[in-house]
Amino acid sequence: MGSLVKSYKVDDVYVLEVHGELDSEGASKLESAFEDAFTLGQKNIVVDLKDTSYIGSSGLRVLISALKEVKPKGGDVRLCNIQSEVYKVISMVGYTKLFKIYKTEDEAIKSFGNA
Amino acid sequence: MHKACHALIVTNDPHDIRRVNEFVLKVAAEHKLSEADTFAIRLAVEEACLNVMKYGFPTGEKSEISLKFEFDKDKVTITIVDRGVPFDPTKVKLPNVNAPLEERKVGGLGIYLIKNVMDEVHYERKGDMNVLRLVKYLRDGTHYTISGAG
Repeated sequence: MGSLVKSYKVDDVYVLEVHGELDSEGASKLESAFEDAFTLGQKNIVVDLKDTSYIGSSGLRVLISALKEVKPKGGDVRLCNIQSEVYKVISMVGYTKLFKIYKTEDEAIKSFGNA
Repeated sequence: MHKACHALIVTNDPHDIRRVNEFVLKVAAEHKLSEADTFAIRLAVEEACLNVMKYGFPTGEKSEISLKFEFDKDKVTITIVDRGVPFDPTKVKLPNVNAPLEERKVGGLGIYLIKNVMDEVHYERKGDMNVLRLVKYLRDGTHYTISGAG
């Protein structure tokens, strides 16, 4: 059940691709990836959840912490490619009102162009 | 009526959450649970066990958590027992999930998730033990109801 977070930059947008589950272990890896992004001064971040079939409260905590970090700096954390069961949880806790959500990574990246 | 039963004992070390998750997925596969039911049960059990592991033993003592799954024809009852500090999750004040970002707390969602994905949540303090009983009506059972606990 190990998870991996890949990161790369597309123009001014920093993309975090989560491969695996956002259980407590996977959430720690995503948290480290966000910390690296903040260290690099990145504030426009896309989290691609295409390969994420599970999220628990640890993963949710990491996502909202990151959003609270970048929002005051004029940045944003946007989500894309969310699988249906993960979407249910994200919706259940009201995150669909806090995060902008896109179907594809490309749409999420481009959305920062018209932010 | 025959009731299928599965049990596991883990330590209160947070690293043991991996054993809990593997056990839940194995039992769910054995009973051919739907993706949605598997997800819900895994989520509730992981959140409940993590709470015990993280907050149940503030002095750092080593202890055990026992899990028991009992399958009836249309539901599964999960009993989680620990000897940590008394903690009744049914009495926890739930977060306002409609609050704007600036008013949202980053944590505190575990109990909220448990109450939302399970159909029944019961707590009892028995001697020095916390006994948490979670019930999920299975989607492929003879009847399926959502009681809207939470």
